[in-house]
Amino acid sequence: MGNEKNVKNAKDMMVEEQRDFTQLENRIMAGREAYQRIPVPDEMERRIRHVTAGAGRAHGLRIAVAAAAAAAVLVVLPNTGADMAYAMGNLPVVGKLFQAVTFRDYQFESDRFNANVEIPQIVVEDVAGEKPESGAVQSETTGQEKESSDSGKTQEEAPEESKRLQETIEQVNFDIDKVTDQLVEEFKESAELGESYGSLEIHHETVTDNERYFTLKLSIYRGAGSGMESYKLYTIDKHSGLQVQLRDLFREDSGYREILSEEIRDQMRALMAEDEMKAYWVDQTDLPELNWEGLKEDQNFYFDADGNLVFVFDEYEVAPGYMGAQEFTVEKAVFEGMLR
Amino acid sequence: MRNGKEALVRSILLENYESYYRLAFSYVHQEADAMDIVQEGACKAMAKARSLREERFAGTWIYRIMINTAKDYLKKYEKERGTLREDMAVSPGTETDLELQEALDRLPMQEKTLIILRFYEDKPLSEIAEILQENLSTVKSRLYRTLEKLRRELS
Repeated sequence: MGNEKNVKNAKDMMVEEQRDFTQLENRIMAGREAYQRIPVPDEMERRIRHVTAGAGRAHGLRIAVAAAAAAAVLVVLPNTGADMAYAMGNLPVVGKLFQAVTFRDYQFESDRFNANVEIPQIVVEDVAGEKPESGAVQSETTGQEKESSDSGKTQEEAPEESKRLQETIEQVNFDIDKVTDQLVEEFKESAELGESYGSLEIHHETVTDNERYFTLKLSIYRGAGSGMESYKLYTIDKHSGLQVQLRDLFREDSGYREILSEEIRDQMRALMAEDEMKAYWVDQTDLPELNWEGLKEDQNFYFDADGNLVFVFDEYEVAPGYMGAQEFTVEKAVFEGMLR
Repeated sequence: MRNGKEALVRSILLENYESYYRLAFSYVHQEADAMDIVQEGACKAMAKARSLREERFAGTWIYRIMINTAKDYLKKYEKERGTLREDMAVSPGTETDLELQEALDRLPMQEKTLIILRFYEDKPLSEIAEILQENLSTVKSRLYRTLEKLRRELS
């Protein structure tokens, strides 16, 4: 062929080399079709769809209307325990019992799909002894709630903190509904399509309940292949009646985000030095943009029994998937001086 | 804007996941492991979509994440279970030129990647340079060095 001729005419190494590469390249190219025939399991597509689900959707969009819609949501809730949430309208904040109650659930099971979802709501019950008979509360307060959402009459009479607390709890409950309903919808969609398999688990746990704070932790596991764990934590300050984010805890000028983030990075470094099987996204030079960027404005956290801060990270947030979801505890001594 | 980048990353992942899978598979030769690598890479890419500076580099950026994820995976795998190579079986029917296949599998990961991207995925050298974050002449000379090595092995 032409190559043979080239060789015969070759005067320098470059051309000879070129010929050899051409042969080799042809040999490699012969394997190209086989490479492209490497079968890709159907599950791969499903997993990719799963991982990328929800992208491009405006997540925060509905938050503005949340408060307005909250009243409507409360009405459709079953009566069980709802009295507790509504009873607080005219009671002082202190001396209230906070609870997370499963209001709704969703179960699904087929060959390849299963869901086990518990949707909680936070309810607050008065424990100061002012509470009337429970039967009376239920009818009375249900009426009251309707009234208050219509006219706001009850709210005028309530102390400032109580009113705030009620609004906060409505807001949080609304958010829980919104988050879980969306996940259930996504699950139903893929179960209907029937491709591959999948699972959805949502559970809740009260991780903090002391004089000051109440924290509800929502654990979400979405499975398709190796699955994904994520969390949503809601912390309510019982004193102010408001939901608490990191920035509400710390003085703005204290540099708390950088200090706490660096503390966590140090813990990551120590863990990696101790055990070479451990990996966190810190100090990576290959792909520095993948390094953990530090605590987010709305980072999940709670206070443990000793008053230390525990930061909760979703799977893939600070470490590769095989490490699973991660928690880091920052000792009270580290942040005490920065608190408001 | 953030949503735009996430949507872009999503569409690239959906369009190219088969290529990522084949690349991952050619490193690990196991379906389950290859899927884990691609899923993990996709998670990283989605999680970090916002940090993507220029949208036109999204494609090469995702490739880089996939390769990097596979590299971490192999490192971990080798620490855990010895070298991967021992448990590797060449999938029947996927490669007829066994001698070449074995020679490719003996190459370090980076060189193997270069061969796959250039010849199997038909990527221009400039794009490969972008994926590997090297300059073009480095990639060129490394490709020639790799071909030279293969040629010696196969003769």
